[in-house]
Amino acid sequence: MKKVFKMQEQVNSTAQIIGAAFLSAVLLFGVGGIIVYGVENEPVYQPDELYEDECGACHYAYPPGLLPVSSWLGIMQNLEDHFEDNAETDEETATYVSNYLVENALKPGQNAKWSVLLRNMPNDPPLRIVELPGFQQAHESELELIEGVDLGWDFFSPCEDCHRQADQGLFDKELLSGGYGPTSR
Amino acid sequence: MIGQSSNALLKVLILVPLLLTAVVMQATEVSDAMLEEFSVEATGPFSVQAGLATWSAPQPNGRSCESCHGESLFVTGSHYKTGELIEPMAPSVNPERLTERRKINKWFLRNCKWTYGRVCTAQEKGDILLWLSQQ
Repeated sequence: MKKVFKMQEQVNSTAQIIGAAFLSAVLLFGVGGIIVYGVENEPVYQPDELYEDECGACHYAYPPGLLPVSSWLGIMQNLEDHFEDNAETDEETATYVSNYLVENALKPGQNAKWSVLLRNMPNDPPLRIVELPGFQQAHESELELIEGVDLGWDFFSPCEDCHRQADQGLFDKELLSGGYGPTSR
Repeated sequence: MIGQSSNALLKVLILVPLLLTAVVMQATEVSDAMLEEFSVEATGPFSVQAGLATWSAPQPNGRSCESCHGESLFVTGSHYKTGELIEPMAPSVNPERLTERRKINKWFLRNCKWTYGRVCTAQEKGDILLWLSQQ
């Protein structure tokens, strides 16, 4: 009887050790995950205040790093007809915004995560982000989904319809979840 | 008795100007100064009714200020195309409105051209600004 009891005790302590080890592993995994997630998903985009004020009043203030220099300059030279809206501003402000956009524009080596947008860039890049070959390639499956349905390019605008952390410059696939899209607007 | 009625009179004397200032208070220093400047080129005195009419009358292109600002100045509107939210225009609920000359000029330029297809006259801008400043 005594022996059995002792054995039981041994089994218990072994179980305890295994349990403790298992629990620590789980905890470590969890905490580690949170840390990695935090590091990976730090905001990569903090818009300039005046830029946000000028452009963000009417639409999501697209990060400058989503379009090449020539596209930004093309947009800034024609603010009176800004995709059928008027986005004129005084010369001083326009110059400031222009410089900010050019400085932070999409270029090789600027942001590894967005370099996908540089793929197959034509010599004369389009003005719209959604018309960049790199953008279309990255959204191929979404484009297939709406093939034949005329949703227009508005389907992809604004970014935060699907990329809910777009305001922080986070467009990672892992951050997407179901039920997103213009219908949720 | 005499003391009471003079008390009441005193209350009226204090309250009426207070109420009046409450109504006029929505106007800001900036909008007041701009109204004066617009009046130099204006064809007549500014009118609240004309301001309201210019603001809400739909144009032949179907556009009006309400396309984005909504039917009420006291609630949030949204951009007709992008859906971006636009804070209420009425200074009484959004005290930041009409406090920056640069912004007032910028939006008069952008929005007059979009809505009416031309810049607004000093008269139109004054009418609208006067009406807005009292909301």
